Amino acid sequence: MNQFSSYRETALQKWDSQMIHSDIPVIYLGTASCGIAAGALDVLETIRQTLAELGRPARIIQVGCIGPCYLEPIMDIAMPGSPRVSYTNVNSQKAKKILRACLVEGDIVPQMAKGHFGDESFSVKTGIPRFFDLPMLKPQVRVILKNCGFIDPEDGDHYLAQDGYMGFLKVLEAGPQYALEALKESGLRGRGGAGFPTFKKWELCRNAQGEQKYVVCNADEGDPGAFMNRALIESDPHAVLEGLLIAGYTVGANQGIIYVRAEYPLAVKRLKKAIEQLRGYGLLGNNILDSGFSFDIRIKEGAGAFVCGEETALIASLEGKRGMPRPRPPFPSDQGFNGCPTLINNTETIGTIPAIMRNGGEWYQQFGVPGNYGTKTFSLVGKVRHTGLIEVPLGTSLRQVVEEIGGGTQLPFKAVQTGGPLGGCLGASELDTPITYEAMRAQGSIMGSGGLIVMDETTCIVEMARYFIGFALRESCGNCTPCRIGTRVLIDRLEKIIRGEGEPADLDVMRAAADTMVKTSLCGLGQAASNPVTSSLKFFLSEYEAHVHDRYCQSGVCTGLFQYVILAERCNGCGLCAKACSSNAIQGKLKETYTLDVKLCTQCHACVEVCTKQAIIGVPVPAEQDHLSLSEALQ
Amino acid sequence: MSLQISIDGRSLSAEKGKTILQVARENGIDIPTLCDFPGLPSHGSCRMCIVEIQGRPNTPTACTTLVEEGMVVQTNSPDVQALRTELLKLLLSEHPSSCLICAEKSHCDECMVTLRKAGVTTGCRSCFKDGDCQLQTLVDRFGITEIGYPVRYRMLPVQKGDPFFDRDYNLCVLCGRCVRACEENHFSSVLTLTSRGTDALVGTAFGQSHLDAGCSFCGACLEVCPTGALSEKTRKWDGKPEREVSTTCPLCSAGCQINLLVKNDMVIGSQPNHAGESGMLCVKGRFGITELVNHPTRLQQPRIVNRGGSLPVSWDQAIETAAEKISSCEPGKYGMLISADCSNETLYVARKFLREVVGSNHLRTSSTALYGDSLHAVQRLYSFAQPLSVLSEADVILCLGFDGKYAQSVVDVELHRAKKRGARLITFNAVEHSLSRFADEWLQPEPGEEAEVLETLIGSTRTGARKQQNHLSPVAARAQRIADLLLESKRSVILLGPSFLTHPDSLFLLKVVERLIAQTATGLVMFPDPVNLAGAFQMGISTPATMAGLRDLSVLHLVGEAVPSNLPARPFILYQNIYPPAGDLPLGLILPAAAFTEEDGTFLDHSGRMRNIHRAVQAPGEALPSWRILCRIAQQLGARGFDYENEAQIRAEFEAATFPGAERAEALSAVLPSEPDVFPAGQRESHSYMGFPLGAFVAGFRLLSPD
Repeated sequence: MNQFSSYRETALQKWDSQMIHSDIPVIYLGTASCGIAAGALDVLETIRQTLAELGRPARIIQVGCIGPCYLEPIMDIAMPGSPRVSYTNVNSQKAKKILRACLVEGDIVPQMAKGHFGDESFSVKTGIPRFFDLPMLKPQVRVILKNCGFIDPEDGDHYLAQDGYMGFLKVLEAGPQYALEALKESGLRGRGGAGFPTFKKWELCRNAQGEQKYVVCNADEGDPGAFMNRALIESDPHAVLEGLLIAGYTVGANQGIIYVRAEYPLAVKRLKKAIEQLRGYGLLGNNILDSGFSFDIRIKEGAGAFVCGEETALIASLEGKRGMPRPRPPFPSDQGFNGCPTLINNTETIGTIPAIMRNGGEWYQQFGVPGNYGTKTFSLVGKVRHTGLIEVPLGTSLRQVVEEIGGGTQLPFKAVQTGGPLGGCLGASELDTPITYEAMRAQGSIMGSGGLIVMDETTCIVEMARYFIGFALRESCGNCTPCRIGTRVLIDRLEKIIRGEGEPADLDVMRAAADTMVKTSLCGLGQAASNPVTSSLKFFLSEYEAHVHDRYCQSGVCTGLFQYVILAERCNGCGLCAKACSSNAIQGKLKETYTLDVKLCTQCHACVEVCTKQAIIGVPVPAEQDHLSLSEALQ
Repeated sequence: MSLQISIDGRSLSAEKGKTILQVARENGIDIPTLCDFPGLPSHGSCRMCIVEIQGRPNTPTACTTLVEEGMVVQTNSPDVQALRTELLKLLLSEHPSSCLICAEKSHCDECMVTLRKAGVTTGCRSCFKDGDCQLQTLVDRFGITEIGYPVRYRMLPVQKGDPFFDRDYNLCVLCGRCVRACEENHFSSVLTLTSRGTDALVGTAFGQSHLDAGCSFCGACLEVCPTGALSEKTRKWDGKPEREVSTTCPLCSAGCQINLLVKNDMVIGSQPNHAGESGMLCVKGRFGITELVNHPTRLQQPRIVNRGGSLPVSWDQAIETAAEKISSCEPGKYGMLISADCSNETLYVARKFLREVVGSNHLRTSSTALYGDSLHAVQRLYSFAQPLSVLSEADVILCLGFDGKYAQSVVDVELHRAKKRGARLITFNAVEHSLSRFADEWLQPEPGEEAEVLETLIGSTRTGARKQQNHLSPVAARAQRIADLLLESKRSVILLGPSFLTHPDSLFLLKVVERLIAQTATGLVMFPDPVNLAGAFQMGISTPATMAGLRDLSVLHLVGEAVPSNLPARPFILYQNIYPPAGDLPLGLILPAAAFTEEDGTFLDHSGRMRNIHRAVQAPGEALPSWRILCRIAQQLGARGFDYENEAQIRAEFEAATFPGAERAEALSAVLPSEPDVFPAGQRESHSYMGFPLGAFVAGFRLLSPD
């Protein structure tokens, strides 16, 4: 114990001297996968070069993801005695300029700064808003993401300095019963999406008979457009490890396994590093801190099957078998990995545990609404202005997420796909739905692990459903009849409708197949796979009907189900469209209205994208004729 | 522990740990199933057995849900029935099923009996499983007349490259029965579900052929397949059998019980008899028999062969000629070679024929020649031999020269089971074999050095002769460790494979085995190749044939034996077999005999237990059972006591008689001069019947051996 206290002491001192009261400037750069994708590594190289050129000392801290992806790469500079100031959408040139200004002139660059992390007075002084007062961040709270973007994920001391492992020590001291009580009080529910009370799962596993038990962290995040778990692991891996330690101690397991996607190399690397650091702190191995509790953690890399996120399929995969769900009961808490009682929790659930243990269950109740306490992270993507990783209290309305946090959409909003590929597609009229497990389910969607894909009017709902069903079809394990064949039936009918061959009966066929899938599928994948179709049939029936009855795709996506015309009243005769057209379908003179020949048009959208006046729009194909010249259309 | 549950309003008491499906079946409540199969672990993939359970969401499957106290189950509500119908429709949308829902169905059933032998199965009329298909049964039960869902044909080529069975995965409903039968019941894991989603399919790892994937061709997958996805090549268009006849497989000494499938007085297939001990068969019993007994070259008529050629003759003429030849030759110049693949009845009549009619002792078998000098050692080992079932209680099993890859794969399964149960498995074999990958220890001597290593092992079992660990060579150290296991074990068993019995050093090896049994008090299970070797010994036929013994003969009578190559002299040959002799016809008589499917009788299996064979069909043409041919010659020669009407009479006679047994045989061999030139015809292959390799008549077997 004493040994660990000294590690903590050292870490706190290091944090204070190097980060809080640093005598040289501290440069923070977000280098999680999202930052790297936006070019953070180039910026990092530039920072190093510039520092060398200027000959000025500065401490570069590579932090994880702070949230707003649309601002990446984000470079923050904290000058000695001054708060940390955020510069966003940084590239090499911009970075050089900012660095020169800050380091040489010892000043901040207010016109380039997006926000700062100091107090109000600094805003008054500089005119820069506080970072967390930005519209995207203001409605958010940070419980799970508390450390993300603030600590160096590869430096265990940073985590220790943020009260790291104090939750575990508290549980070690107060006993497993304390952990269960705290969990029960907190009302935490499974963040993988199903919402099963976490304390109940832990209690079942703790009470299960068996000498050998396992705890498994499910980091097989497979939803398209979801990156909550990746960001958490990349930005704060120790939080997950601490959660696992607490889980292991509470249920009586001595082996923890993290099942993480092999497609997350950075996450795997940081986890491995963190596990070694943990061993170094004496918090892993035999008889941890002389408590008699022994625990070890290993990493299992998944081979890229979405269905392995389902807990029984994950166990099969861990055992080296085909990743295939099996019927429950028996639940993994009774018979899991190698037939032993196994606790499986989502990464986010596990990542929340340390905070609850540190602060107590009651503290956690301040977030969210009764029955749905706490916060939930979402990856907000699609056509919103502000994309990124967000954390909101449960009970927040979808509208607040889309309009306030996401900043709304450029073009009129159409729909939001909640809960990933197995979730539902909700329209504008459902935006006031509060984000709770029950409310989402009532709307025919699910909470899911937290993907939110926002769509505007350029997204065709039928095409969107086809995309998600196609995903479910490819990722179904193929074992049970309704899921394997039902997804195929759905995609077959959706493709038929998209081709313009849809018949009214096709909608009934889809409803029947979806109903059978929901009621008879073996696992959660099959039971939820039809959600995108059923929810969009519920909320966007008119769009399906337009495809079927009028052979018209109003979003201009389904090739052949619309034709482009150039509206004379909007066209300013700039000629950009004619230049963009590769099939010479657009003719005309500068400063006069251009015309589009539908017979030559391949509907490649290139003209639509370049037109600044939105003069090119899709209209229904007239019934009798396949193609219509502009003059005819205008008549 | 008993629970109270309610199914369809009936309150029932159910045993804890059983599934709803099991309890329902025990009480006569029928729940439709497709992926369920007796003896296979439940899987829950077809979803046909869905039921409603009060207080549970959705519809769980009866086959995977365990009963709980107070459970209220509805198996047949309109909702459940409707969902089952939808599921069936979904299945049919991926299964060529036009005939099931065709408007002309009833006419077609009446008039178009068959459209068979189509290259591609497009509907039930062109499917070999028509009338025997469980999907068909379900469709009838649910009265489905339209599918309603878009149909899809998988467009997969039929896989025909492997021996014995074809695989048409266009017909597969992915019930996974074959996968489970292979993996769970046969520990083979050749089959698995491959790919995902719509592309999911049953197949082998990396799409290998079954031969390459290590399939032992036991045929368990065919037996469980509900549709026509798996089809036996030889039986494909034979339709449903008319009757089944249970009998014993005569292709090795294991004594597996089989059911012969019979149609139009022809054996069309063979399947394991589940009432038998193991309920399994190896490739020989499963796929070897049909082609073997139905081969077009089967002898059908007696023929006389002289220098001018061969001529068909009547039985009367043939018997007359045979009797004439035998009566005109001195007793010492008549010799008989009889196969140990013959039934006890034939062996007994042959022995009686020799003693009482010819007055000679010259009754030999080439099967015993196989064992050469060690024949008596083999015979002595029979006194220790135990049935296969002892493996199920053994804690240490030492396999000597055993390979269950193809032949005797049934034993392989028993070994896997024993290992799963916790028994230690040690295998002793110079070459890679079926056990080398899963045995706990593989003692691998260099080929030819088996005797030495085994000697080390036996040396280690004598506590006095133990050496210090550090003075031991690696092999000897392992041998000592194994010896320790055997000595410490309470129920150890030695499994003696065919290759050890016929090993060049077998005389020495078997003596060592005998000592090992004596010293470690272990049990013995052995598998000689000839099916009725024990019977031959019992009948006193235990002298190996030698070339020298054949030298002076003027009449050589072959019963179920091939003509020995390089005969030292040219005797008149009475050739009594089911196939014509290979190569040139020998001068003499060719007498068509019945195969085991065409006569009644008994065998003694590897543990000396009596096994019955039953007549399933008529012998082809004029062929007669071997014993009857011998009886007719005897009667022609004026002998009495050969007027048996059936096999039962022979059996009654020899069961009442006492045999000299082993001592007598040894006495006989002592009189005969010891002749070193062992009979060369004994180059017996491990897959053979009546002196012929199975590969000669069953095409698939040619693919199984690497050469």
